[in-house]
Amino acid sequence: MVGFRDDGRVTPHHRETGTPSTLLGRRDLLIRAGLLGAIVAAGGALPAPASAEVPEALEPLLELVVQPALNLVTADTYGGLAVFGVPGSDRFSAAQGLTSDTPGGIEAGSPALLQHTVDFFVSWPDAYVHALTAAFTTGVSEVPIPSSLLGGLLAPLEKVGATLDDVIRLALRNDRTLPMSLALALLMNVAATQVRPSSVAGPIAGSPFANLTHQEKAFTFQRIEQANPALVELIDGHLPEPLNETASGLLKYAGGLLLTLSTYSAYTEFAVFDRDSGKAVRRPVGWDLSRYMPGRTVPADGWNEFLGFYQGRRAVTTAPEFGGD
Amino acid sequence: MPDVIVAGAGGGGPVVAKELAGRGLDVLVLEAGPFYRDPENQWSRYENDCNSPADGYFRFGPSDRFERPPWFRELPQYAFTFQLAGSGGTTQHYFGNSPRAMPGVFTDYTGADRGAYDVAHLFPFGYRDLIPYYEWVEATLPVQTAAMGTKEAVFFRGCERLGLPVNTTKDIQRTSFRPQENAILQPGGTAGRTNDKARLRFPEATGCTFCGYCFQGCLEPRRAPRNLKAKRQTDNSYLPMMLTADKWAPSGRRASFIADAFVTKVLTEQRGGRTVARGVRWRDTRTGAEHEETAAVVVLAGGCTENPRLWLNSGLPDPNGWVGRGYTDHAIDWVVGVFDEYTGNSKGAASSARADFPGYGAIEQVGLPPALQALTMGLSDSGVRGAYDNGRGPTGAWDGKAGRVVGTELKAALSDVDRLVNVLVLTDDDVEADNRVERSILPPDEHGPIPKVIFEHRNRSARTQRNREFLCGRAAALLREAGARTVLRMDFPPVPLHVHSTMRMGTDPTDSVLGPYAEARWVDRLFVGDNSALANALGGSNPTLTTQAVATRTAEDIFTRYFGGAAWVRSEAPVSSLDDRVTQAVLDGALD
Repeated sequence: MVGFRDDGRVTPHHRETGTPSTLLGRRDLLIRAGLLGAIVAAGGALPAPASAEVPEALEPLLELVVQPALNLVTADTYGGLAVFGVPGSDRFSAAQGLTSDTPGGIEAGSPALLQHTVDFFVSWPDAYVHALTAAFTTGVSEVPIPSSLLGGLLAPLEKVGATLDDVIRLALRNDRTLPMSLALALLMNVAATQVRPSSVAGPIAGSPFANLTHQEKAFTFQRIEQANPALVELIDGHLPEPLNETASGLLKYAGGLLLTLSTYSAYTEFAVFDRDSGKAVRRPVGWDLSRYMPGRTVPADGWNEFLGFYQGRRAVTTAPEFGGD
Repeated sequence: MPDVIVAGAGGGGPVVAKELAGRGLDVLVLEAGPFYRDPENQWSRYENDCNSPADGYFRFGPSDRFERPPWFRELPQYAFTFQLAGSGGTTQHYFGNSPRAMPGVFTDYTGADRGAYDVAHLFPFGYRDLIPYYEWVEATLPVQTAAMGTKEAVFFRGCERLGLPVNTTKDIQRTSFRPQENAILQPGGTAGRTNDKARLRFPEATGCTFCGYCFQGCLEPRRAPRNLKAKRQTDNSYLPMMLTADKWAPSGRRASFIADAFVTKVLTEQRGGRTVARGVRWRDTRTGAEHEETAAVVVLAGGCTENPRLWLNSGLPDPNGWVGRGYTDHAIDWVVGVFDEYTGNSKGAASSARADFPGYGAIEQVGLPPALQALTMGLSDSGVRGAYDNGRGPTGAWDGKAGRVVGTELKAALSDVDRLVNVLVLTDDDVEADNRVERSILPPDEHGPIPKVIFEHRNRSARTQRNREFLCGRAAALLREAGARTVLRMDFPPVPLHVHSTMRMGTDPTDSVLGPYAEARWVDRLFVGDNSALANALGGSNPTLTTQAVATRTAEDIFTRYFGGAAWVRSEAPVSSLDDRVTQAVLDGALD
C-alpha cells in the first residue's frame, strides 16, 4: 500500500514493500500456469525475469531509459486503443487482426490526442496518479525493455532481463511526475494480461494490450467497465482510504472514457490543426472517412440546404385551450 | 454596493439580470469562465478545438485553456457532464430548442392522463400561470418556428408514415410531431440558399445560414452585430440586453459583468432569527485574488452541479437533505438511422424537428459533424456490440443489441456522415433522491471541495425506464418508416446535457429546496435562477425556455418583494433582443 507524506507526495514504492503479486512476479505465475511454453510456441520472446531481480547498482543505467520506456508504453498502448476504435492498415491494426483498407486512428493522430485528453482532462494530483501507476505496474511486469531502447551501454540491463515495470518502479521511487495517460495505459495492460497472459509478448513491444486481438481488446474493456474484482483489488491495495472506496467507479469511468474517446478522436481535426492560425492545414483523415464537406479544410459558413417550412407554417401561437388566438 | 448579484451567466442568470437591469436595479453578474467578445475570430468551429473536454474553447475550465486544465468533477460512474464555462454557459452549445414544458407537470393539470407524469414532484404553480412568462421570453429571444432542411424532411416523412398528428401550437397537448420552436432566427436573404461564403455575410444574409455548427457556437451570419446572430444563446441575446439596459428600457440601468470570476462562497448573516444572504466571495481565476461583494439579493445561476456545490461549501443549511438531490437529466438515449440517401445530417440547425409523447417524453432529430457523430456512437452503457453488453444490451425495433459501434462497423456506418439521421431520446424521468450532487472526497481545487455527480442510472424508477424504452422504440420505428437501412441504438450512459432540479422548487417542503418563487426555503434573499430550480424534468421538454420563463418570474418576484416595484409581465410588451436600440448600443461598443 502506498502512503502519503506530509507534503502530499506518494511514499516511494520500494521493491521490498511491493504487493505479493509483484514480489512473486508474473513470470513465476506463468511458469506455474504452464503458459511460458505456449508463449514461445506462439512466436513470442521468453518473458524476462521478474522485476525484483535488477540490482540496485544498475539503477543509473535504468534511469537512462526511463523516459523513452514510458513514452513507448503509452504510445504503444494508445496506438492499440486507437485502432480498436477505428482500424486502418497500420501495424497496430495488423496486430489486432482487424484491418481496414482506409486510414484509421493511427493516421488520424488518435494516440497523441487520446494521451493529451486523458492527461489534461483527468487532472488528478500527482500523488493519486502515482498511486494508480503503482497499482497497475504489473501490467508490464513481464515485458522486456525493448532492445531498440537499449543501446550498447545498456547491455547489462538486458543481461539481467530488466523489464518495463522496473523502469516504472524507478520512476515512482524517484518521484518523477507521471501522466495520467500512463496510469490508464497500465490499467489497459494489466487487464489485457488477465484476458490473455501471453499478450506480454507480441509484435507491439511496449503494450500487451496492443498485442490482443480486437475481440480480446473488447473483453479487456469488459473487465474494466465491469470493475473486475482483480482490478478493484489492485486499486484497493494502493489508494489510501477513503479513496479506495472509489475503485469501482473509477474503473467504470475510465473504461467508458477511453472507449468513447477511441471513436471520437479519429474523426477530429487534431492531427492537422494549426493552433496559431486556428485552421487545419490539410484535410483531416476523419473528414475523408466520413465524406464530410468534400474538398474543404475549413468549416463552411453555410449551405444551400433550406427547403422551406413544414406545411408552409412560419409561426405558431399559444393554443386556444390556454388562451391563445 | 449592487442591488443584486447574479452568480453565473448561462441560460438563466442573464435573464434575471436583464429583467432587473431593465427595471433600473444595479445588477452585478459574475461568470466563472471567459467572455468571448469576438466569436468570429475566437471560435474556429473545428470539433476538437471547440468541444474537447480537455482544452476546447467550450470546456468547463479557466480562460487560459491551453495552460491550465479544466475543472475536474468526480463522476463515480461512466458519464459525461458537458458543463460549460463562459458567457452564455451551456447555451453556447445548445441547439436553441425551445419547447414549452408538458402541462402535466404543473399543479393545475386536469387532463385524463394526469397520473402519467412525475406527480410526486409537480411545479408549485400552474401551467397557465407560466404562459405569460413563456410568451415574454419567446418574444424577447425570439423563438421562431424552425426552418426545414433535408434531415428534417426525412424525420417528418417518418412521422407522417407513423400516422402521428401535427401540433400547430406552442403547447403540447397530445402525442404529435412538429418543427421545433427554436431560439434561432429563420433564414433570410441568401441564408440557406447558397454555399458561397462571400454571399453569406450580413446583411445580405440574415438568420440561420445552415452552417451546421450549433454545438460549436453560433457566429453566423458573419458581420452581423452580436445581438443579430442566428442562434439566441444568451451571449447573443440576454447578455447584450443586460449590458444595454440603459438604452432600451425607459428607466434601465446597464448591468455590470465580470468574467473569470468564480464564486466560492455565499455570505450570510443572522437577522431576526433568520439566515439572510448578504453577498458573495469570488475569486479571480486569472490572478487568484479573492474579492467580496455585498448586495440586497443574491441569485445563484451556476448550474445543476455547481449550485449545490457552492451551497454546501458555503455551509448553508440543508435541513431536509435535498440540496443537490433529485438530479434529472432526461435519461437521454440515442438512435441512429443509416440511410441509402442523402440526409444532410451535418448541415443546418442541429435540431429542427421533434415528436412529443406526453407522459413518456419526446424524441428529436439531431444533426452532427463527424467527430461528435463518432463520439455518440462510442457512448454506451451496453458495452461493445458483438462482444459484451455489461448486462444490458437491450433489443427492440433497432438492429441487434444496443451497444457501442466500433471498428469496421463504425467505419461502415460513418462512411458518409450525410447519410445518417440521429434521434435523441428525451425521457420524462422521475425526480429521484439518489441521483445527486455531493462534495467529493477527492482533493479540493482552487475553489474548494469539488462536486461529485452521482447517477444511479441502473436503478432509475420503473416509470423512467419504461418511458425510455418506449421512446427508443418509437424512434427506431420512425427511422424505419423514413427509410433507414440500418437502425442502431446506443443505450447511452448518463450524459446530462439536459439538467434540472438539483435545487428544486416544489410543493412539499420536505423534498424541495426552494419555495414557489425560487427563493431558498432556509436563506432569505437567496434565489436560484437556472435549471437547478426546476421542479422536475418538464415531462421531457428541453429545459432552457422553461428555465428562462421561470427566471423571468423570479426576477419579477425579486423586484416586487424586495425593491418595492410593480410587476410588468402581464402589463407591458417585451422588448425584443433584436431591437434597434440594442443593436445600436452593441455597435457602439456596449460589449467591449
